[in-house]
Amino acid sequence: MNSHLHSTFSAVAVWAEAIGITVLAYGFALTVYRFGRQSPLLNPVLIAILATIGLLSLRNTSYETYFQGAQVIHFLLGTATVALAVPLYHQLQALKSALIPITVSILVGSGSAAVSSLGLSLWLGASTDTVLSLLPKSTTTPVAMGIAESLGGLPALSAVTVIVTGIIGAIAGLPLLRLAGFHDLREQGIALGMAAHGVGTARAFQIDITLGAWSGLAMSLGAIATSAIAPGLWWLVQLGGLG
Amino acid sequence: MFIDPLSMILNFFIIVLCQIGGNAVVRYLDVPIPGPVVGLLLLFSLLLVRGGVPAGMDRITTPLLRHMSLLFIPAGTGVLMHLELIRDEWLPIVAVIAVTTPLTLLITAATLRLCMPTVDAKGEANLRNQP
Repeated sequence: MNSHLHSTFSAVAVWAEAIGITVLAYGFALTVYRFGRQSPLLNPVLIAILATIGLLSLRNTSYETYFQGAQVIHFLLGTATVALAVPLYHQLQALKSALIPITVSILVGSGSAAVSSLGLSLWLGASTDTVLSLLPKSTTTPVAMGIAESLGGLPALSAVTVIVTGIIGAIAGLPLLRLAGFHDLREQGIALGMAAHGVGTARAFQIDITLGAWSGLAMSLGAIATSAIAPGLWWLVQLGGLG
Repeated sequence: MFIDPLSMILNFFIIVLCQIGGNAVVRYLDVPIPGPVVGLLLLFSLLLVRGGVPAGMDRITTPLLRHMSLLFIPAGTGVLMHLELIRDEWLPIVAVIAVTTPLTLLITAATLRLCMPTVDAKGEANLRNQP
């Protein structure tokens, strides 16, 4: 009885520590991001991860213990991914206005993102873990982690490559698109959301609401398309004996 | 406008049910597709059938999505476990990101322009971005 009570208490302590560390790291990252005038370089997720690593080593807590305690937060990541259906539904009018062009460009965009990262990483001799973690890197973080996980890659490595991809896309995306002659907000938004997912979309919303809306639409549709394309592509690679 | 907490909890529960449903479908069909994406499609279909987003659902998804960054932290901190792999393979990782990100941007924008020829004719006047 006593030991049962004790183990309940220590489980609660593990949750409290993990949730406390996560919230503290997030608050710190948001503060840095706001002080830095929301520069994409100061991506809150990246800073929060670094802060969490710092706090864990300060408290001498192992990652396994931390992750066990943070299960509730990890579960909510799946819930939030499902909730992306709501903003997608709000974009229904924009989607209907150009259903076929948007669908085709999302399919081509997702396909080229997956094929190019798969081809290049295999050609450069990366390990299977790395290849699979890079494969979904243009999709939004929770979906990319889900894809990496279901294919047997490393979700955490995916999260980091996805965020770095988003940062590069958010910084260089619009200048590159303008240089290439793409000035229409719909073209810019769809391309940004497709290639740079949530980070690109956040950047787009800073510039213009219409740009952000199109970017968000492409982000959601790109995540859905890549969820089907990436496993199919990996299956083909294995069939061909390359992976 | 007043939205009662009960409706928010109920709508949150609907989203969680879609999440559980999506995971169940993926497990049952044994396909390598993320369960939450199937859950997203389930919820999207429900909204299409209903023809609108309930106020309580809007209310509960707004904070959930606004603070989604927080939810990445536990899983993302797992890079701690892969530092050796990153040290060994930083070159292919950096190269793939640096090459394929601009490529994806340009290919996507070019495809949309090819498929949507009205972009230049009509869209330019009011949709043009400031330089």
